[in-house]
Amino acid sequence: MQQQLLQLAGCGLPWAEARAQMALQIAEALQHGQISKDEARALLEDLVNTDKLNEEATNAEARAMLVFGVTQILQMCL
Amino acid sequence: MTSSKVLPVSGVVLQDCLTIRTNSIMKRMIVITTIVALTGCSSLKDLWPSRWDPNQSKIVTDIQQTARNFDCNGDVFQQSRNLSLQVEWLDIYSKTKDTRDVAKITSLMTNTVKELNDRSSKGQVSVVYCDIKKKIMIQQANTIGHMIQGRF
Repeated sequence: MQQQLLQLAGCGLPWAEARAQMALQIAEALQHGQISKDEARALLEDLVNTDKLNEEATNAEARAMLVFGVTQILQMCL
Repeated sequence: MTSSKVLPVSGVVLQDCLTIRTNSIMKRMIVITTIVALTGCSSLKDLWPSRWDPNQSKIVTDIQQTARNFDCNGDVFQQSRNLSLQVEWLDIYSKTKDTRDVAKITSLMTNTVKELNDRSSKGQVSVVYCDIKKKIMIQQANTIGHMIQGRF
């Protein structure tokens, strides 16, 4: 599992690298007893939520650009 | 002679084309009207992006600033409470104004901040946990900030 995260940490996609590095940091902190299991679980849930949030935000930004573009073309037609 | 024969035929063809086109537009309008009537505009509202709003822009910048300046060696509970209240303000405002796209992503950050607030209210949190949480909150605040400020 950690091997996959290590591969992701150097895959070239900034968002995936950031998430993978953070997940590795959480795993390392858990192994060294710097955080509790409950804290680690909460942080990993936050990482999943961050991905959902990113997806929603990207969709919303794309929709806004699309509607703006279509509105501009419509104004040219009127 | 030839043109006089062609013209009435073309007229009939043109009329047929217009009738077919009008029928097609009418059918589409009926379908759209039915969808809107049945769903009460909710489906269209979900698809339509909200417009730029100065109040949302202001509060999201405050949230970004609070997250960046979060001090894990200081009073974590008080700081997380302040951040929680700011995110709650944005959430209430977005839901009341019915900007669903903003409300949807704000609710995800509400979970992140609320978890920290609940945990710190019960007692000490580890510094490493707080540091990682801070990074996540900064990322989430920046994403929401870009989305809110990037609208037209």
